[in-house]
Amino acid sequence: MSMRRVAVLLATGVVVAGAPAAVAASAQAKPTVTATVSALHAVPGPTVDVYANGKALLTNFKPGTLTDPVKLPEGTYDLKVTAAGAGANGAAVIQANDVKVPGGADITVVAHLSAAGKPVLTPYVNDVSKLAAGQARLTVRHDAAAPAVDVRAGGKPVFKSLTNPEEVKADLPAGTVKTDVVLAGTSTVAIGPADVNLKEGTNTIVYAWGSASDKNLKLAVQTISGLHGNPAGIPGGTGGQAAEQDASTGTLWSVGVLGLIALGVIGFGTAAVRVRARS
Amino acid sequence: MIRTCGAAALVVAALTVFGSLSGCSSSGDRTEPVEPTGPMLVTPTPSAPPIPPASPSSSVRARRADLPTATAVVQPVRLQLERIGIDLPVVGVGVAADGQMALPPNPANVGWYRFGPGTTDTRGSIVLGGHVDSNEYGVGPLAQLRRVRPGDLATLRSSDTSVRSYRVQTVEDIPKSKLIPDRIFDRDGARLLRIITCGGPYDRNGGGYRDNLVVTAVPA
Repeated sequence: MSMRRVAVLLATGVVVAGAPAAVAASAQAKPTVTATVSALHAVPGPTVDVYANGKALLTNFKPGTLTDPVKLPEGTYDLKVTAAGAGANGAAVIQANDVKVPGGADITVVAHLSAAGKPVLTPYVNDVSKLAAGQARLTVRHDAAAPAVDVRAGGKPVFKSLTNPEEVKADLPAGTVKTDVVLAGTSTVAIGPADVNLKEGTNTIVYAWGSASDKNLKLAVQTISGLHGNPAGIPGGTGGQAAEQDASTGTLWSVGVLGLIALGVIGFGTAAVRVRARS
Repeated sequence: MIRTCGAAALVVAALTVFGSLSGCSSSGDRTEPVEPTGPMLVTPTPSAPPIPPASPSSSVRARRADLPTATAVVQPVRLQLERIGIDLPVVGVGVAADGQMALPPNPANVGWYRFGPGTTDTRGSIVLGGHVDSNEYGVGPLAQLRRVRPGDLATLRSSDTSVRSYRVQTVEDIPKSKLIPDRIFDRDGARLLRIITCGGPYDRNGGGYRDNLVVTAVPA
């Protein structure tokens, strides 16, 4: 259940989202291996720009918005988040150098508040493994300046004592789940309830973000599709009557045809007799 | 004499038809076990295209990460195969406890795999399946399905009142053990309609029907 950070990113303590391609000098000698990277802005307030290796990667990135996934070469990125329009040399709201983006992973980098209310970046590896037919995956991430919470579905706690920046997940039958977030061990609702549509074959990632003290806790949602599995087969009949009916019909038909043949032979014989009689 | 030969030919034809009646089979065959969902394993992204050089101006798009609202799904509601006299209600179905496609218990209804493509999707296979017979209800209308021929028209009426026609391309008897679910339930390939029931001999000792009768049609 514990969140899995991208290893090397952990070392730096911070991370940042995707920088378009060529910024990764370290990846250039090798065959290009890419990571799929999305970024979520989950810090209440400022619209920001994001720089990767000194180049603008995202501009006018607004709170509560999520980027489309982009393919980035694996490699190392220096990332900086500034106030919108501050320029490449502007003051960093968040900064992270030597951030490694590993090839092959599907990652969401989230700019959010720590439990104490400080802006941080957390990279999460999204579970994009295949689902069983009819199932959907629900992932919940605690990215809010708030204490431990329980996540409830239909009023019952399904994930307990989730703390910032942990995540939890489960594969569930597809459908709509009424979800709310309560302070851990209580029934004090912090967020919601909200109807979360768990579409079959997707990983629906719900982020709790904002600040409890500022009373702006809310949910953001990211959906990764294409993870569906297929039914194992199609049953098709439980009685066997169709097969048996076919069998008996076939038999009867054969008998009938044989009867016709017999009649034909008799008729032919009779005709022959008649002919002979006439001649 | 000519009549006799004709009759004999009919017998042969009858036996041939009868002998090839194999259709679908019952449960039992899990050709494609659904993959277990692993822990936080990362699936490698398949063959990424070459990355174009980064241009700072090619800004990545961002959109609001709001809760998705469930959209109303257009459902097929009626299947008609006029030439063979099939005219049946269609109901949405999902997955049974054993991992197979769930089918309506009454063979007078056809199930639509509601997690897969529907009539408004531009890719993939619309999968309809129904029981050919049932212990409770007896032989159903889909017993006629084996009479369908390439070129026949199948019509699907949908909940949005649209009517779409499909022309039958192939009629296959596939042993259940050979059925490839990923092919049948394809969501990304060409737009197809697949109508599936059981066929083949029936094994009363728990084996059920041996085959699936798979009718594949393309948009007409």
